Amino acid sequence: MTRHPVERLVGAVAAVTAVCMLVLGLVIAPVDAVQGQAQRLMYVHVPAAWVAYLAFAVVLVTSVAYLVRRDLKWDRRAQAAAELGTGLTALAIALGMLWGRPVWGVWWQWDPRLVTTLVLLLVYSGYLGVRGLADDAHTNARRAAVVGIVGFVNVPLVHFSVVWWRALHQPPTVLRPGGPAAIEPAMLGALLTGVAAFTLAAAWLYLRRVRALALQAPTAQPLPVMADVPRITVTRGGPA
Amino acid sequence: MAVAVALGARYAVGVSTMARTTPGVPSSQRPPPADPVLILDQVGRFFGGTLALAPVSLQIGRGAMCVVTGPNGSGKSTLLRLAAGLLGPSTGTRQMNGRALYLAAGSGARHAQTVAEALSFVSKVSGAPAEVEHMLRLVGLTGLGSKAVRTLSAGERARVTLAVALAARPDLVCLDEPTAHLDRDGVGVAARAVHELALRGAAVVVATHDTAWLPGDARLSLEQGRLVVPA
Amino acid sequence: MAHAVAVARREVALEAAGRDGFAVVAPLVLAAMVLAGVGFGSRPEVLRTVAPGLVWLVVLFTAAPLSRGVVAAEEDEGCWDLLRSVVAPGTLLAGKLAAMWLWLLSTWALAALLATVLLEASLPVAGMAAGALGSFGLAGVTVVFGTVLAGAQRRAALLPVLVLPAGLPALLAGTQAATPDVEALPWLALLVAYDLVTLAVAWAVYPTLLEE
Repeated sequence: MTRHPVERLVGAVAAVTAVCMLVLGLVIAPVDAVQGQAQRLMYVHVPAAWVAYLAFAVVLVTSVAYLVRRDLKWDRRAQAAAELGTGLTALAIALGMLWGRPVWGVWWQWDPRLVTTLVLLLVYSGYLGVRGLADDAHTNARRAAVVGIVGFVNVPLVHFSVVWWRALHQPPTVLRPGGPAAIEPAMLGALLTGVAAFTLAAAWLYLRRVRALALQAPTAQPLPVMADVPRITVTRGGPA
Repeated sequence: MAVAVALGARYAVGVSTMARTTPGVPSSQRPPPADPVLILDQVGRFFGGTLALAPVSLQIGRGAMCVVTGPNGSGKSTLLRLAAGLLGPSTGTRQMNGRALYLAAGSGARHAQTVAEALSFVSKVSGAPAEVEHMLRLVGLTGLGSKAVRTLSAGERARVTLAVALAARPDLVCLDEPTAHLDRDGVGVAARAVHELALRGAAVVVATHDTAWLPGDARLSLEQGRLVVPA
Repeated sequence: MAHAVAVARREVALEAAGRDGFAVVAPLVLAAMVLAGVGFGSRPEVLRTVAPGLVWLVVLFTAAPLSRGVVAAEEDEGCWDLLRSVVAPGTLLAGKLAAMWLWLLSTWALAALLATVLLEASLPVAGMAAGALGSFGLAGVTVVFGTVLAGAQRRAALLPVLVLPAGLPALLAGTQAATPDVEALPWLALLVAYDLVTLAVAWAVYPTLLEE
């Protein structure tokens, strides 16, 4: 049972951090003056969205690595990251809707980060859809890698254009150009713990998934003994 | 900045495309011919988990004609496409001096194009002079230059394929079942076209069921993806 | 360069003779604009407001049928192998991209004209510039994804999923630039950036897409 020590360590730390997050988020952090209890969803919604973007960056790096190296292990890593990212993006959107309904009164707002996250979900879906099209693993990997790269380049462009277009979402509480907005330390602590917990849990799931994909992959074909390889030379007038 | 990144990416991808190798025994002890057009070194191909072509080492020189035979599904098309560089090898390396072309019978021209348009396009992008009338004469399609490919019979389209091969002036041409829809006259045309290609210095690889029409310089037999060494 | 022109001219000649690309899409554009006029109600101010966005939406949705001509039609007629063999990747991309830009720009022009006539929309000069710029980036995206999905079974369903998000900047910027009383210059600059990025990425990945 100590065969995968890194994985087990990550899993254990993730579990501990998740418990801390729950305690901080549900108990210790104060109730928001304006939004009430619903605001506590922030501690899950925001980390989910951040880790989804992180997974997307992993898809980019592993896609480029595959195209350069042509080693299917990079493709498996890209696939695991994309699966994780899709799930987290869908979760972030769902949680955002649950948070938004009591606070804004509507399920959806046409604001930059919501639109970009929805676009991200579409791009991920396209990425996963492209994976299953061919029988050959390398063909799938190549197509997916291109979609992953193009998608990654595109999402910031989309985000940038929508930011210009609308600005209704709460200003980002931590990553604002002018510095962190005035946020209760306890809330900030809960939020950052949430980010840590989600990142670690995602990393644990990712490692497990990559391992599972590697086990599923067809084993490399044994090459014939070298003496078996026929060598033929053909020149004008007859074989040499 | 984006351009620099793109250039770097393109170089990396291009390099990896060209030089996908697996380590192995160095190629043939026999010195290679003075002007090999194509060198396949232990090249094999898998599709998913299935072996389509077992590793083979093949060198073809300028002007040589190589015939590949075998039953359906024996890997002839796979070998030809690997030789032409359309398929990437799963094992081994491919080295090509010049340009390669792969054509299955009836391919090479869009149905909405006229025969002349198809031939002059291929000549133009191959950097060769457009000799449309000459090509048509060689394949016995004189006077059909202005006809749309859509209106031609299967046999006529097969002849257009041969004309496209001639128009492209490749260094290596792989013809997959070129006599598929051809009558006896057409088979004669195909044989003449192949000889013309070889005369112009191209290496020719032909996959065919019928071996009578083209003796060739060498005959390779494939069976279930494995090369049966010729007698 | 001359070879890229030859590829582009071949695309135009094929469309003129075969009429299965833009000629198929043009009636769709007309139908869409007429149905929009009916569907969005008869109040002119509503129609005038939605017109810029509607034009770009229609253009985006024509990208899917137009993408067939990039590779799928070539494969169906046995010419994709030939093109990959005799034309260099960059040249093939350039020729296909130029032709696709022509089709998408024509689609945009037709939609914009219909918007002016049927929906009483006004089209500022910035809107026209956006038409040219936006359709270029969209053409790049269409050619790349059309090549990715060549020969794939679920092409028809997957192509919009890939193209529409990638075309969102063109939709947004194009719409804003064509809206009266909106400062157009930043949007045009965004479109230029979008075009450059799309071109750079397409050029970098295209050789990979031509492999098998």
